[in-house]
Amino acid sequence: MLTRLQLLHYRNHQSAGYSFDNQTVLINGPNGSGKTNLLDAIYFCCMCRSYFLRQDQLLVQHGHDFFRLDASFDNQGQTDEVSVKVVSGRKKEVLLNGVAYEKLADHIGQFPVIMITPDDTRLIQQYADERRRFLDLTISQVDREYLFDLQQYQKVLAQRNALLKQAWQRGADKEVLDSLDKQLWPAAGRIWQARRNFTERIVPGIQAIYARLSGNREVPGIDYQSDLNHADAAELHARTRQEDLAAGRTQAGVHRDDLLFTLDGEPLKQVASQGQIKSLLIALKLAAFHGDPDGRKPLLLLDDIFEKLDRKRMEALFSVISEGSWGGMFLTDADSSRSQDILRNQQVLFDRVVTNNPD
Amino acid sequence: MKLPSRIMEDAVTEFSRLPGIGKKTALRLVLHLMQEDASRVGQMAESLQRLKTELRYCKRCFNIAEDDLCSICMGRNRQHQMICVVESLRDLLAIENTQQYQGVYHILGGVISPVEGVGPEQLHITELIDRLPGLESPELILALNPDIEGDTTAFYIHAQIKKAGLDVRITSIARGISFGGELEYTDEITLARSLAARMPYQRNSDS
Repeated sequence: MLTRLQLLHYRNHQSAGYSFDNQTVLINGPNGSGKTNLLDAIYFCCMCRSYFLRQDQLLVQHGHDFFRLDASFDNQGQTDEVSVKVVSGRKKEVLLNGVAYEKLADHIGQFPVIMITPDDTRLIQQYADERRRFLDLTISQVDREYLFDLQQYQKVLAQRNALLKQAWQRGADKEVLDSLDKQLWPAAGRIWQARRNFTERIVPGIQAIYARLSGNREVPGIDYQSDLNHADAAELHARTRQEDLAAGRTQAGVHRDDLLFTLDGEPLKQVASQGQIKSLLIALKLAAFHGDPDGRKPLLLLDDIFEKLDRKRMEALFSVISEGSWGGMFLTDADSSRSQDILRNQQVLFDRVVTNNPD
Repeated sequence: MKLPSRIMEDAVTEFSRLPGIGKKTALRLVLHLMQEDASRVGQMAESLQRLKTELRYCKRCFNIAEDDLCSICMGRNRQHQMICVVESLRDLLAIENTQQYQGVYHILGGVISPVEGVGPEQLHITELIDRLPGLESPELILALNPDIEGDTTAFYIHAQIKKAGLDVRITSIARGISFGGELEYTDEITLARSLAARMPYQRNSDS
């Protein structure tokens, strides 16, 4: 569990330090006071990146040129200290017990984490890259080889696309293309396998949680859509090579994968209500570590999940969530009384943090 | 920077064009040289000039040479059928410094990287293939960096040799845990690959 968090110049947190005695932490405070930023800081300590912003520089408090985060994780009496340093114009540094990682990828999965926010509707409403991002960020935490394969795939793909683009102008060197493809295929095959295994693994969990959350009978599902579903990578890329050469880029492969969410076999987008979408997203996130062979207990970061719910539904949601096995839970809520009531009703011991930073 | 002399200014500008040298360091070097004997400075200028006038690339392996061939390609105690393929002169120097290698080299002058606009035609790959037919049971040792560009180049060379129908033993330098390294601190990818590419165990006294 997280026992300590210090923030310096992180978004609207000038300088703040918190220590936690309980697994469950409630973060209260008015809108714009930094509740979500606090969750994001924890997420950054686990994933070496913000959940919300891709550019680290944008996280630095206005008027400063760096931010720093320090977190202590306690695991059965052993304490690990994670520090993050982002200084403008320098490479970001993440340190574990004072030693900087050479490769940030080595940190991913050490402190597994799940973030649930109202923003997650992007996953369903927006483009496929959001859904691939969800797959990548989740699978990377349980499968070390996956992140390596993904980075490998992206680098080879960039080389391949550069070659195809030049080919368009001045003819392609087929043997260089062969050499790149020999590296693309194995990585693509392993990425496809990992994504397929992952979607199959979490579906039972999603269905069970969804049923509890919605109380409805419809059954959710995930359809993993990939060019590799019907052909292995070597076959696929050999077949599409001519088209790739004509188009000047790689047109098929795991970089085009998508997830289709369904209810009773129908595409979710077409049939679902806002409530059903929200239930499915929460179920999807909560089930992300279901069936993890190593039994990891992720830290759960819940941003404003009680938004627009009545008291009865809030209680139901919280009791479903607390059945999971978590390495700690942080919740934000602008309304301090209702969430405190729920936690007390359910006899949960918790710490409370009140943020009041200027917006 | 305003200096009292145009000649000095020129010298400072020249120095600051070198990698890792800023204006201030350049000025410090120039001031230092102005204190030196004229003969020392003359020697230095001459040795710099000779870098360009008297040095060239070895016609066979593209190492630095004073004649048509470099000292390694002319070496009598070298095994000329064993060719170590490297990306750059720096890599050659690193392997030479091990004092363990008795073969010869071939410097490619880079690796294939379409993103950087480098294709096989910019590298000395054709020259490498052309070296092979004259040799008796040749061996190529691919000593390229273990990254995508290195692997692409290795695959490409392998394909070219196959295409030419040459009988060449091709090996690659081992990849794995560094000597004196600790397993616990080796990254998991390297460790996993070291396990996959494990070797038969031989005691030193057996070999």
